[in-house]
Amino acid sequence: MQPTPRIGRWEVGEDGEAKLIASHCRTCGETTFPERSFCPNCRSQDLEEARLAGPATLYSHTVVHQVPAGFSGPMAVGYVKFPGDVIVLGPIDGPPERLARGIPLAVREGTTSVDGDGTPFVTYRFTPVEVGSTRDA
Amino acid sequence: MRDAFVVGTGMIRFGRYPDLLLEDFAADVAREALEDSTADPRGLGIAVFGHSGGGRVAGQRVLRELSLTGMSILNVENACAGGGTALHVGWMAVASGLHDVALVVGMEKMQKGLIPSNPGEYEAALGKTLPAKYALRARKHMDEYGLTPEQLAMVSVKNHRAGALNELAHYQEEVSLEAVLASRMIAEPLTLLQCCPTTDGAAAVVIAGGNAVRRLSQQPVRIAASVITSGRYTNPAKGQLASDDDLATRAGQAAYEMASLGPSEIDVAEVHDAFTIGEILACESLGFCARGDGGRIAEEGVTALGGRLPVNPSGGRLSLGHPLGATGVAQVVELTRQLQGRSGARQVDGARIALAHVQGGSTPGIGTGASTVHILTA
Repeated sequence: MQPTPRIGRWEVGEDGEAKLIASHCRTCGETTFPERSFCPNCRSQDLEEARLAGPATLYSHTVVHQVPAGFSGPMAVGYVKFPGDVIVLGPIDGPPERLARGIPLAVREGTTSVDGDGTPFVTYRFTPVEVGSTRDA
Repeated sequence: MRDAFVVGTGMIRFGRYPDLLLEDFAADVAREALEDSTADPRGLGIAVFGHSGGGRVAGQRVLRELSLTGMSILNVENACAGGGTALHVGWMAVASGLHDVALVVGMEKMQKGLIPSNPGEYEAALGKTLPAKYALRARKHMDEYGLTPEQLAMVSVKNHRAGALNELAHYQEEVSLEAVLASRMIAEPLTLLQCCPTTDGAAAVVIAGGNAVRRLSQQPVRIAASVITSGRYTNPAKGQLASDDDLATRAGQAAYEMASLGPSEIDVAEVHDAFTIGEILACESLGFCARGDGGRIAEEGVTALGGRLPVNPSGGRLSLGHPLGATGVAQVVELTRQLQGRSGARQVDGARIALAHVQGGSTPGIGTGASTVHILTA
């Protein structure tokens, strides 16, 4: 049994929009996502939850054709920028040809892969706002 | 610190050896390097082995085949920089005066396909494969500097052309620009022929200092610089992507300072081209060209055999192959032989100063875990 990858936490609102939960350090002001048990910058344990607010935009991405076991491709993965210059890596929905730097993205819950037993790995995903929800959960 | 020299080299043809144990072919390169240096194995003070997947005490299992045991044996791991790390440890052992003779072996047996991620690695769980990491770096370069798919592909064409002349290369065939661009897409914009193959291999050097040097070699090659550095933690939630380029830049600058040399004095280099974009970024970070010009110098033939500064005359990772822990040592085997004038059809005329660079260990929050740079002088 492998430990579960610490991809971070999120909460899903009634509208289906997910909010990523970051750590904000009360001592030095550093924001970290995924969350930490202590601040990687100043090592303070005085942390509070902070929700990353939109609008998020696509910063850089690639379309992965050779995928690891359990994933299905082609799939887009990239960096997404939140206000306040926060960058988060994640899987990106939508037809690859529609993806371009700067397009607005919504955060949704979805899956990236399935394990050997067919159990899906649940995570957050980024979806182009114009395309609407193409979550594949 | 005193001067340390490469006094012996050994290397097998890189390829796939499903029927051989790691011990079998690694023992071959250790034997060859010791014979090349005429080193009396009894004078060996320390042996350092770089590998990522060799299992427990792999170095001892290799030297058992040569009845060479009882001295200090170290096994070191730093992913793609494991061989360079082993060299650095061997250099430290000799340059510090602790030992007069060190054996350094880089070795690896690879699985086919993608390199699996470390357990619990969250970027991999989100779909960022190792080729995707380099693809994102290529995309960034295209956005910022106008790097073209053709310039990227030219790195593969150039390195396969060199590899076709290297009897130790895994793939000894030239490839056309069209074939590189038309090969299967791995992670956009990187196609199959822009990604290193999965290759088994091993390489070894003997390093000596003090009175042992002249006794062991007619043509010792001086290690003018040996530098290892690690990637700096950068918080992506501060709008910073982990700065891989900074890693190679820092390693290069420290090496130039140690050797009292500059990039314009390098005659030949081996750099980390696990993916085509890797060579382009390394050339820029090591000061072979201005930032943003790495694609142009590949396209214009500056870094080809016969160019002003041949890069990856061995065929590089793309053609020679990239057995993780073996690579850093294989680069120094290639460059030592270049400086000794033993490289046949690939010989860089008049080469006197050479540079080897590896980096590896894709790590969330750090980017790349380790980089080593070695500068060798004839």
